[in-house]
Amino acid sequence: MRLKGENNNEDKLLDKAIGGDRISLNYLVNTYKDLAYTIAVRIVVNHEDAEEVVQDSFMKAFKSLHHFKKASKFSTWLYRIVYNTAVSKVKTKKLTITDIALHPEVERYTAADDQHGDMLESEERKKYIDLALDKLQADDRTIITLYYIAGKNIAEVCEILNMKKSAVKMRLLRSRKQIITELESLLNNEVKSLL
Amino acid sequence: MKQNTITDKELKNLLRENGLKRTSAEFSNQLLQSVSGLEYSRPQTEFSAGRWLGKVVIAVLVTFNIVLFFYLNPFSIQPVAAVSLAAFTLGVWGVIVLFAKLRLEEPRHG
Repeated sequence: MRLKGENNNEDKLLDKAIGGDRISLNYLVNTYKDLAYTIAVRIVVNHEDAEEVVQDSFMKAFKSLHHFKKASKFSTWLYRIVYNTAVSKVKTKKLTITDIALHPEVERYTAADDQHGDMLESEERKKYIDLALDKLQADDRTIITLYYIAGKNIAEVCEILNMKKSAVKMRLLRSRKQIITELESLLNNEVKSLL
Repeated sequence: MKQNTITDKELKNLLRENGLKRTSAEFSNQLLQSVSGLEYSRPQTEFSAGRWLGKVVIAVLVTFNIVLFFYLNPFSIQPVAAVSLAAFTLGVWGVIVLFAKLRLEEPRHG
């Protein structure tokens, strides 16, 4: 739910985008494409599928932009479309969204850990974060992504995932603990150097 | 019990800085082109006068029905049937209102 007067600028941009203003459309796409892609890739795991999901979701969202009633934030509405499209994609590909096998790169990254010592460059940090996130269940990964990376609050996460508040809170607590444990085990107590 | 070495704030910063996946420039351009192309097929805005006209027509028809009902005075001819019919109508109306209210209370998306 959003408060009256919140995100007035975004409302103006949305109105302009509904009117077909190219600059507003470009702004909206550029603002949300990366987060939408992050959510999609955390669910479908594969980059090509994630791009397809983002493409489909944006087409769906922008086609029905004139139906968007502004009862929630545009980002919440868009991420809900992305989430549903990604889950459908997983179902059609008959993949399980509860558990995924470790990527082949995972072992490579873990082995590389010993070589690099304590200096952790930006790319390495990203790899470790990916590794830790990959060990979570798909729904937990999505909750972590929405809450920490997209900056959504619990109510918005509930709206996007169509889950109860208690379920989201419980999963968030569990996955937060798990991701910290994973990071600690991956980095052998070098977690602080990541920060 | 083992204490976590990362605080919630630190985890948030760490994930915000390193957890975001970026789309390729090629894909971004393709996405922008697809979305920009949509504006030409966007439907026209709804004709709002039609909705008001419909409401006026319904209001006139309902008024005529009430006037006719009043002139026929069904309670004097068959009070039991008339009262049953009125109770049935009120009951159906109540159920419709209840369903409409329940539907409104569901979380809305968009």
